[in-house]
Amino acid sequence: MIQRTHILGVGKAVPERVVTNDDLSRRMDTSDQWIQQRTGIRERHHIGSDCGASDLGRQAAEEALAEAGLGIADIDAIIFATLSPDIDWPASACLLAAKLGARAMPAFDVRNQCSGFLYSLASADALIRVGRARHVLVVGGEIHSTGIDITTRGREVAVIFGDGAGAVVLGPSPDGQCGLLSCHLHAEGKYAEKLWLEAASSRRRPRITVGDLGGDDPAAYPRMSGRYVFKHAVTRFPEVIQEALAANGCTPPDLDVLIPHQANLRINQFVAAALEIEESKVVNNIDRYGNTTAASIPIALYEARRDGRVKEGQLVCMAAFGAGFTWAAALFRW
Amino acid sequence: MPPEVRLLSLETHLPGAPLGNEVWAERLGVPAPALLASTGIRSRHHAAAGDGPSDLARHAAERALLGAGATVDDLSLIVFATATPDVTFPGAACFLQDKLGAGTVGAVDIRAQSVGFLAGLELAMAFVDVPGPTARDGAARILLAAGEVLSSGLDESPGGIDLTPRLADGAAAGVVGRGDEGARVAALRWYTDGTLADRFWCEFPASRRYPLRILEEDLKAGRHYPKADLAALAPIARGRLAEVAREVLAEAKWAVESLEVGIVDYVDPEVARGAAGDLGLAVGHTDVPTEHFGHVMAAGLPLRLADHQTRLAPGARVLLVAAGPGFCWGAAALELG
Repeated sequence: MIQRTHILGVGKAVPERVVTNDDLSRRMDTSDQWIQQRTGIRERHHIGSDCGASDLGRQAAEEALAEAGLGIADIDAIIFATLSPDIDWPASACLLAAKLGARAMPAFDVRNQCSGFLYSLASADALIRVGRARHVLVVGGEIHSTGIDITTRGREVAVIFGDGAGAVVLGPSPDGQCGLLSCHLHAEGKYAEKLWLEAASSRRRPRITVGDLGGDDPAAYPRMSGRYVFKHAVTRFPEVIQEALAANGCTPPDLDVLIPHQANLRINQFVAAALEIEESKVVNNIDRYGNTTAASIPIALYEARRDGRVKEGQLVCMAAFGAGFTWAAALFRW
Repeated sequence: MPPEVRLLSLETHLPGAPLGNEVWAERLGVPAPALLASTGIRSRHHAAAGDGPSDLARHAAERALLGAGATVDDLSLIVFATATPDVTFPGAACFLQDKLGAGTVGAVDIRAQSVGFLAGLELAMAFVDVPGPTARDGAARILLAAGEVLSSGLDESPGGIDLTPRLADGAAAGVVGRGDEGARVAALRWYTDGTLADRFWCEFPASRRYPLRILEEDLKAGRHYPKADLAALAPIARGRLAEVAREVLAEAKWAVESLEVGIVDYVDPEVARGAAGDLGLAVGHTDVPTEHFGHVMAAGLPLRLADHQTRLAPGARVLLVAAGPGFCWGAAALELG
């Protein structure tokens, strides 16, 4: 059995079009100051023409493969984390496989919202270590902008989300020592409806109607109890980071870099304070991308690798919390 | 040597009474006998309004836990395979986790369409095998659920005649872990060819469509209903079903004659029967789930597997084969325990 996996390459893709807070405030009753104060977001990227999560995922995947020195022929499985798939079904992983010219191989989506990338990473790690695959392409990709209500009615959610994708190639650790130490996965479905997109909904008959597209509280757009999510996030984030550290005999001071999911800068500041981690060790880029859910961690990892914040030998923790509720952490010795 | 990783238990749930072809005949404008002739399907089950795949899976999961001698406190992960989640997000696994009262155990939704059970089984087995938090030092119990509620998203106009009577609801759930009893997986392979994705799909809501993923005009045009070019897919599906079945039989070193039953799942039972014939599987040893209850995507294989498990002796060899949207296809060779 392979003892340890590691990230061999990372890629990133965002649409060219930048949407600033001022751009949004021309379409809804909000302001740059209001958005920045509550979320830390200055701008995000939105697509400007037809483009799926698998299209952004393809760009990110090609970059990740290049860094890993691998071709698509070297990949044995594709896992695509998204909550905004290109189409209802089949999975975006299938579309991505075709766009990359992959041979026939397992390709599936993981639908775990903000924790989707870490659940996918854990899945890829398990498949590689038991020998079901040698290299797995893990992509987090989202096109939120076509599914949010960019009016005053939907402002609580609409200002937060951005489009983007990040990809990693996971494979055997080059030296058997560095790499993924452990993954910790959690969920608490009793809060499923605190941050959710109800329609289309197979439990309703029919699963989506014209009525879902309009009205005061349209079911075809995401809905969020913001304070509720915040309250749970600031509890679960530190908890799961501590869990990952403890499982590996470490404590917060041992941590060199924390790459948290980018949901809200205020949450990440709170988490850093709770764990007494210097803010300089925390990777935050939500100001430029907004919340890209499953894509946020690989995009942040990409930037932290490029600017030298993540270096060999460091203890790096990735952590996420979001809809489900789901939350997770992955600890690496880089 | 620790015990092998097995499917320790498997239970199913089909909602309500079986519905004959009369349920669709009038709406689709075709007499019931003609629907039977064109689809090969006699009946199917439809979930009650308000019930999603997590509701159906809950019934199966509670019994599967009992069958494995486990409780929710023993679980280290829930894996749910579906193409028709209760709501768009979060996934059905989160809803099931809540319904089972499973604390804060991880819950992951996967999308692998008609091979969802095989993909989920492969993943669950990997999580049990790998040392780490989900493996719990070899004592891991992972709940694998596969369920669909397709009936709430079907084209009930005459335009739906090809696909609507074929798609249906149901769920199965099992516990995967190390043990001396239960089904042992001798081989498992599955594949995707995304170049065929638009031959069998449900396109809308479609996040890729700028500027909005779903519009009133999409609903009026029925773009949110499943569509398939079954005639074009038939030879492809038949070939892939037989091909992957041969592959897992070779990997398991089993002769087709040694099988007690081959469960071959595809939306068109004729194609499934054809593939079974190509494989050399005798008619009496072939089971086509779609003939029993329509095509239930991720749940078709385990719904029939559970039935055979109750009648077959330990040691019996069962082949699972499925194909569907993606285009995905896969197979597993199971030795019952």
